[in-house]
Amino acid sequence: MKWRHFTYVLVLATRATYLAQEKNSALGLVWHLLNPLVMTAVLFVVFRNAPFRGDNPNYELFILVGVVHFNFFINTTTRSAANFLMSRSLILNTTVPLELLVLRQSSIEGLTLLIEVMLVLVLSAVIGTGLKSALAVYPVVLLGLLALSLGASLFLCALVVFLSDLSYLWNVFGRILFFVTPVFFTPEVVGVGFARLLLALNPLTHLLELARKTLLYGGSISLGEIGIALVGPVLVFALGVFVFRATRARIPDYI
Amino acid sequence: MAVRLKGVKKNFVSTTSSRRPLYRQLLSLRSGEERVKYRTVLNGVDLEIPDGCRVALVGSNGAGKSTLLRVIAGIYTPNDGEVQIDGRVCCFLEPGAGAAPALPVRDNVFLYSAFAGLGYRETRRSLDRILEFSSLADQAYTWVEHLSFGMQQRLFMAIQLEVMRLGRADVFLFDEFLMGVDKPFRARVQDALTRFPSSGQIVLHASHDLDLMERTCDFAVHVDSGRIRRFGKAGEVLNRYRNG
Repeated sequence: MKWRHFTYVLVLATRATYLAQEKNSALGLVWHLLNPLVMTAVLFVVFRNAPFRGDNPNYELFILVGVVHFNFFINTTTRSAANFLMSRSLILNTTVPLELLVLRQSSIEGLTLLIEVMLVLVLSAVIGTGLKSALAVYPVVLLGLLALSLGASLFLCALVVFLSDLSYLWNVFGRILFFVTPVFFTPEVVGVGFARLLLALNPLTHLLELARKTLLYGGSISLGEIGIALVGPVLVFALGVFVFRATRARIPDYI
Repeated sequence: MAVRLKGVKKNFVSTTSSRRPLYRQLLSLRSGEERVKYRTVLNGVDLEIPDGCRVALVGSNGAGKSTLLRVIAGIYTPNDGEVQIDGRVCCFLEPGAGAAPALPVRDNVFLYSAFAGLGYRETRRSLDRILEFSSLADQAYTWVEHLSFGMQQRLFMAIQLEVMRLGRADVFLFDEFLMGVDKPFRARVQDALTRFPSSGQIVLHASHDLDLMERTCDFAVHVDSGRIRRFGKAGEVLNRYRNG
C-alpha cells in the first residue's frame, strides 16, 4: 500500500473507530477534557500540602501536564491492544496492513492529547506564568511520546495475540507505572537510590520534565536534555517495530 | 501466470493448545504434556491459475477453501511451499469485515472502498454507481447497522465489483458472498461477474452454490482434505463434484 493511500485509509479508519467508541455518548469529546481535569483536581486536593510537591508554582498545572501525558501513554497502549484483539474479522478477511490497526488508536489518542494540551496552554496563560518561548521545543515532546506509545503498542499488540494474560499484566504495570512516573511529584524528592534509578530509567520521566519546561516554566533547554528525553522512546519504538515485524506473519494464525 | 502455489502447506496450532491462560501453559510445561499440537489444513497444494481465469473453488466444509483463499491473499503465511501472486489482491472473504456499523452507508462506502484500494476521488465518482447497484441510493444516510444482513451484503459486494470494474486489482477473492441476498441482486452480480473482469483479472470464488459457479466461472478447483483433488473446466469438475 502506497504511503499516501495508507494515510487516507488511516484517517478514515481512525474516524470510524472514534465514532464507534463515542457512539451513544452524550458528552463525547468533553469527556476527554473532564477526565484529566477531574483527576488533576483529586490529586491536587489530596497532595497540595504534601512535602513531595516540591516548590512548584502552579502545582495544579504541574499535575495536569503529568496527567495528560501519562494518560496518553496508558490509554494508547491499553486501547490499542484491546482494539487489535477485537479486529479479528478485519485481520482474517482483508489485506489491510496490521500496522494500521495499531496506528488508528494512537491517532485517536493523539488528537485527544492535542485538545488537552490546548487546555493546558489556555490555563497556563490565564492562571499560570504565561506562554514561554520554550514552547517551540514542545513538538519534540510530542514526537518522543508518540514514539514511546507507538513502540509499546506495537510490542503489546504483537504479543497479546499469543498471550492473552498480557493485557491483565499491562493493566497492573500501568498502575505501578503511575507511581514510578513523576506525575504529581518532582523526581528530586525521591532522593538517591533504587527509586531514583527507576525514575531515571523511565522514559516518561524525562518527557514529562521537558513537557513542563516547555509548557509551563520556560528556561533554556539544552540539546543534552532533548537527547536524554528521546533516547528511551527511540529504543522502545525500535523494540516495538522489531517484535511486531518478527511476529506479524503468525498473528492471523493465532488471533 | 498470475497465481502460482507450489507445495503449499498450512498448519494451525490446535485450539486446545493455543491461547490458554498463562498458568495453564506453565502447568502443561511442568507436567511434560506436549506443549503445541498442530492440525494440517493445507497439505501440499499445487495450483497455477493463468491470467483472466474465473475459478470456482468447491469442497466440503473444512476442506481448506477459505484457508487457501487467505494464503493467496497473503493473510496467512504458509508453513512450507511457495506462493507467487503477480499483481494486487482484493478480497471479500467476509462481508463487511472492517465496516463501521455505526456510520452511515455513504461513509462506509468511502471506508470500505479505501480498504479495497480506491482513493477519495475515485470513490466520489463511483459513489452513485455503487449505491445504485446495491439498490441503496435512498439509504445513503442510514446507519449500516440498521440495514438487514442482505442489504449489507449488497453494499459490500457492490464496492468490490466497482473495484473490479475500475481495474484497481488483479486478483479477486470471494467467499460465499451471495448468502442472504435476493434474486434480482444475484442476477445483477452474475451479470457483472461475467462482464466486469478484464482479460487479465483473476476471480477466485469459493461457494456451495454450484449453479452460480457454473454460470460465472470458466474453471473449477475441487479442494478435499487440504489438497487439490481436481482442477479443470468448470462444467466437468463441478459435475464430478456433484456426483460425489
